[in-house]
Amino acid sequence: MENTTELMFTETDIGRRNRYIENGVRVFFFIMTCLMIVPLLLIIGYLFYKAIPVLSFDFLFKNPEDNMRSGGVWAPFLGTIYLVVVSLMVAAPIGVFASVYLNEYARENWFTRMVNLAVVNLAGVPSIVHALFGVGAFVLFSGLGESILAASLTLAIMTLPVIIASTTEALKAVPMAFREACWNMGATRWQTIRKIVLPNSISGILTGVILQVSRAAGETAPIMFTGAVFFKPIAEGDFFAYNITDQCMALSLHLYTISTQVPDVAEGIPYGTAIVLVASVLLVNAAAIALRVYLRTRKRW
Amino acid sequence: MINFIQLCFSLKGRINRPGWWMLNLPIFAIFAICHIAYNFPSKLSPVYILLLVPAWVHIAVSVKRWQDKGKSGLFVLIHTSTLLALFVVLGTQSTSGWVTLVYLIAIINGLWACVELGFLKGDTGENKYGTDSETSSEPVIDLYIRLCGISSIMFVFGIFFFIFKECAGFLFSEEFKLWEFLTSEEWYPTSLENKRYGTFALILGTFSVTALAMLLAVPFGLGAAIFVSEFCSPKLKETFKIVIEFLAAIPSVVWGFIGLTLMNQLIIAVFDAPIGLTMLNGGIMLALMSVPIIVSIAEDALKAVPDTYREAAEALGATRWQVIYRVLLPAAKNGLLAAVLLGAARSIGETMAVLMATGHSVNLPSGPLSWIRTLTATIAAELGEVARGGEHYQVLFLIGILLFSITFVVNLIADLVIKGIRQS
Repeated sequence: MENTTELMFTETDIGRRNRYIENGVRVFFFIMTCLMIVPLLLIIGYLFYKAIPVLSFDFLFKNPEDNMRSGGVWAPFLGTIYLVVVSLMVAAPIGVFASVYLNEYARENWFTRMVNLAVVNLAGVPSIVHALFGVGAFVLFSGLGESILAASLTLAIMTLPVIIASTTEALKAVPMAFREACWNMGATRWQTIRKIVLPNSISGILTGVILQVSRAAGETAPIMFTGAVFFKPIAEGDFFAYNITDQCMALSLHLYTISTQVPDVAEGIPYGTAIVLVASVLLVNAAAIALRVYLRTRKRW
Repeated sequence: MINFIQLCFSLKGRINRPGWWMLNLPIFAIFAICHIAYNFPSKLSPVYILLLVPAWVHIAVSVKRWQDKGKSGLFVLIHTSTLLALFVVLGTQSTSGWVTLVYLIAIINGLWACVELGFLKGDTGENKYGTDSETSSEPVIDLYIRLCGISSIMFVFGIFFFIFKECAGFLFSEEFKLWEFLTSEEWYPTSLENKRYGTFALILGTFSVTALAMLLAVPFGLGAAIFVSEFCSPKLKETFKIVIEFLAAIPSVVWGFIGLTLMNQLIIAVFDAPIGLTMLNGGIMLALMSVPIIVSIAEDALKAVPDTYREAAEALGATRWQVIYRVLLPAAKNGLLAAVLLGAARSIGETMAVLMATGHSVNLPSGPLSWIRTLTATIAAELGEVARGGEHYQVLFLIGILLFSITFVVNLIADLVIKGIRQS
């Protein structure tokens, strides 16, 4: 009797081997996952380290000077804000309504599958192809010329799938019972959406909108030929310095220009520009994550 | 649909305030855009006849709003007449003193109409134009939602159409030979005597750098996905997901910049190469960019495997690794494949990173340390320098069509693969 208990509780060879393998695998995959964190920290750290000499309050609020060899990033920074805001104004309503359609209106049929497929494909179209579309449709066909408007519309169509995807997820998370209860009270479809579905999914929708902002802020290719220019000085400190039919500078294109096209740029300036761009994008993303975490704690179901 | 036509165009019946706003805001937006972007009405063109439609909708809806308040629809003439006067004055660009007067009247009148029609309540119950239950604005919302829903289809077709439109001239001309376009490696678009547009080197460049990126990204991506989904505590999982989101958020131009500076020096130092801007550099950048997509989609696929599978395997005494290797991976293989495909699609379409990091010379790739150029980078680098409408310009759009088709097919396959899981 004693013997068998001992047998039951001692580790067999095969058990030990399995344990070793399991631990080995766990460590191996852990290292693999960590190897994705390392480049992120390394890159941000490296950029920051190189940018420290130029980073200052003035860097953000001064125009590029001396053929972009010195000065700050005010004009491109403001241009990026303009592009993002205008594209958001177009993409947010269309995207939210589109996912309301997909989630609340559409039945399971071939047409809905087509729409879904179109959304997936729109998300997969390369950014430079969006640029070609922007040139063909907005700059030339619509006669908008190279302008903030044309560039923003291109960005809006490009980032639409981001909003659609996260809004759809948010709408799906609202339990069906909520809707059914509302319908049983005699509410129409739109009343249900407005009073029940949208208020309960607003956090997810906002997350999608914020992610759209971060995506739009970083894009370069779609705005290169539709409205962003290499150089355009504007009044410093004036938030209304651009007109919507003007061309503008943009942070992402500015980074490309000063790191590849302009010779003899002061060492820190491209790094400073990159840090401003990365920091604004990551801050916006962090806001989305914070919002998501905060609202998840207040979830009522 | 009939409901909607009645709502927009008929002068009978009533409408409530939300309905008035919802139909009018887009109309105001249309006129505002025409004014700002095309200088309407001082610069006229026959296309503006189309503006009569939104103008009529505005009138019809306003008439119904007056009737909702129990007044005659003729009241609408007060504000529409001043609006008309305003357009005429703006159109003639006259500078006499009358102009200020018309402006003033139009502004006061517009504000008054806005308050009267947009903010003041209609009659409750029945009046001589109908009952208040008929004033619902739901058909308008329905229409907007449906329009937005199908907008993505229109955009996809629109993208194809407008790019096709720009390159159609060359596509159907005598000089264009599809076979040569796809298989010749001679890309000399600016040669003086003999312009040649062979994209084979570019296609090969795109695919080789994508393959290299996938070679690096797939093991790490899948490994990370397995770790995050199977081995992680919830808190660690949350942290990793945030890191992956951050990694996905870094703009492509920043990746290109890293490739240009940090990775360039690293490759020169490690491989003793003359220049670090090579296929390897671009491949590493693309791998880092596509890993987040692979991780998140692969993790979804692993999460989608029913827990009963895991429980059944564990009940048989399988260790965690055996469960993963024997049960989860086979069960989730479609989803993992889709993850890899979507990661590859991302790499194929990436522009700025490869433009800045791969050396940018048209070469048949001969190894990880050779310079290459991709389809996307070619468009980005050359579109700014070509004459609009010229042959070279059209060829660049043709490359756009090629890229569009490649990613379309890859995405379609990924979608079908994912759909396959759901059905089985």
